[in-house]
Amino acid sequence: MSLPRSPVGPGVRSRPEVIPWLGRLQTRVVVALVLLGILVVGACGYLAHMTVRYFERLGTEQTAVAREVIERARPVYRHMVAAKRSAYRYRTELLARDLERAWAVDSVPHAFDLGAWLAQARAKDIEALAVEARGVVLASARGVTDAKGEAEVVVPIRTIVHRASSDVPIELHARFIVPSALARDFDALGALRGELGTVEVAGARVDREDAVRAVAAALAAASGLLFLVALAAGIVVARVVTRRVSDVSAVMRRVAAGDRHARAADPGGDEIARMATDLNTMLDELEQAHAKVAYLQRIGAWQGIARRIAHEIKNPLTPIQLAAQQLRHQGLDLLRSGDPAFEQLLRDSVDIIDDEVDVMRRWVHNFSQFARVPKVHPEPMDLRELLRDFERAYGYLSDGVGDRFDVIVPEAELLVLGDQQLLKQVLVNLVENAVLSAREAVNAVVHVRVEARRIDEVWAQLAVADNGPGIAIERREAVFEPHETTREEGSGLGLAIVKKIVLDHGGHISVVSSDLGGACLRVRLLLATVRDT
Amino acid sequence: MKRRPWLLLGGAAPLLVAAARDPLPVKRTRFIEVGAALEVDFEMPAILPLDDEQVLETVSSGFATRIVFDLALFEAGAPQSIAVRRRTVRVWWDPWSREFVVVTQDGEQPGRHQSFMRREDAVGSVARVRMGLGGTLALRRGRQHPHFVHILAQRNPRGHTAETARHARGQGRDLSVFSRWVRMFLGSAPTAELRIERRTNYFYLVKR
Repeated sequence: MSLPRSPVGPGVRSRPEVIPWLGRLQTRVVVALVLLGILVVGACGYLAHMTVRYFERLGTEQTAVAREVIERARPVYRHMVAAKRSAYRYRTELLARDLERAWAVDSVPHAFDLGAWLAQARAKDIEALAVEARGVVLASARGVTDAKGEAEVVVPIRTIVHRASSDVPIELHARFIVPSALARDFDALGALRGELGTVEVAGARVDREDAVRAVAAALAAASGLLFLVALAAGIVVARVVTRRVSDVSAVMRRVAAGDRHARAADPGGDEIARMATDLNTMLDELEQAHAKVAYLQRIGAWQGIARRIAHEIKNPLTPIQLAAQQLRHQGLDLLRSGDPAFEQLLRDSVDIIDDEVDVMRRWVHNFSQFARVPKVHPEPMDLRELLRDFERAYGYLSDGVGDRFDVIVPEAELLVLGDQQLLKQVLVNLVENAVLSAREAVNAVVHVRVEARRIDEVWAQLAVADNGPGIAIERREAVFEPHETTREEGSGLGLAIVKKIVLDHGGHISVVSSDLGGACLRVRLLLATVRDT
Repeated sequence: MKRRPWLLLGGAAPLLVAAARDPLPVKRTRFIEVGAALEVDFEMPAILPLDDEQVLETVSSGFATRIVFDLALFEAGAPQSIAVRRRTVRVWWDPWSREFVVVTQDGEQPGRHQSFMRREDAVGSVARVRMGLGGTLALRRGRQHPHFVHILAQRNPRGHTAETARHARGQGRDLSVFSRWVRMFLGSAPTAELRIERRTNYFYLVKR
């Protein structure tokens, strides 16, 4: 079972290892890129659409102008044709008058030579002439035109030849030739008219509105494709960048978890690589500093232990040495003289040596106990049960006359992650320390109170308060150092053992002033529900 | 569980309907066997409706109106056509002769000119189609071999444009690519001012 790491201070919750999806840098970068992409693509698409609509409007105006030009060309063409036909008619009328005059002289119509007349008139645009009476051709002639083999437009004109000597109506038919280029150009104008409002798109002629819609759809599709490409590229870039940041972060977590040899990979020469390099440099320096500090701490600890051992051994050695010297100087004389005081001297000296050896044994026992604090096996346990057991075992401290030992058991279940035996030892050490401190303060009545309660969603608190002399603020951290004590009989190991056990539980211990007048030692333990989350 | 077949049928019904090909309206048509040739005779007044003022105005405008009939002869059930014929008819008001002129051209043959004093007569001439479908030697005779003709009539088809305007070339590679890209979103663009598609009634050649 893995315990949450110790917080920096009480009430500070550790950050979860798994970052929620929305909280990830990669997600935020991708979302930012997506939003930026939508904004840019949308703006560009809108501008492109507006441009297309604008030019479409210009095209519409141009089409309207072209349509008007063609529509105006049509009556012009008709008027021109009408004028030309009028000219042909007048010429045909003139020919009819010539014919009338000729018939007035010669009563025989055949005498009028149409061919000669055509040649004389040099009418290059007359294809044929014919004189008919009741459908019978009386005379005909073909002209010599400028036709060059191309299709030509033939304009038939018919008029009446008045002849006084005959009641039969005589008609003169003339066929004029018009160059076909004129009609062809007009026909081409009609073809262009049919294409107005249409455009050519990759070989297909379509309405301009359809083309505009297709262009808009093509722009939207192209924008969508570009957006997808940009999104994919953004995801890849964000993934690459954030993965390297995550790698650096993972190294930091490993270092924080105690792996002092973890180092970040630093390929490339960008800012992230520089950050990784700086982190590695810092970790190298920290490791070197840590090694120095650890070495100095070890040396210091050994010095302290040596000093303490020397002090603790020297204290009982002095009375033992005095007792031995007294036996050597006085005891031999008394033994030789047969003085019965020798027996008393020997008994006193043996008692002194025995007492001091006992002191040394107790001191060695405390040392041994400190060194053999067992490993913590935390499991969910109810603090109420711990307090009830403790009250049954140490309830005798309340004598019913003066000394008070209050154990306040919470009503609600208070499950913490703890090792019951070790937490019981914690309580024993704290209560013993409180009682002895209160007694040494020469208080008439010793009052110790033990209570437990829930602090928040993470922590439960076990507090031992007394009415002793209290602990000065500047010594409230030092009291947990080994062999730090203010009591004459104290070994200075009790609170050190307590702190060791509490830290092994992932908890925290602190000293504050008690409302009873002395000190209050607060032990914070993780609630069992923390493990589940 | 019993509902599942009905649900499947209900779900598949729209797909079946969508997959079914739209049947063409049937055009009553006469088929005449003249010697060893087959002729078709039908009228399609809807291609130039006389009650459409705009169409009539166009016919009278002096600009030519172009009607193209594409006929494909099929034996029923056969995917490949037996014969394909095209007739192109142009009709316009000729201000020189003050007549309506109709020029009919079958395939690549020279055009046949007709003149009409009345617009209705000219339009009627355009809408009346009697033309040869080819020889009857390639057709199987007998009641068990019915045939039909697929008719596609187009008024002012847009394919009749200048050659230079047919392809989006000569305007740079980017514009060409973009033009083809836009073409993908045009869908089935209309190819004519009016397009009428019909199927004739079935006919068969009497055995000899």
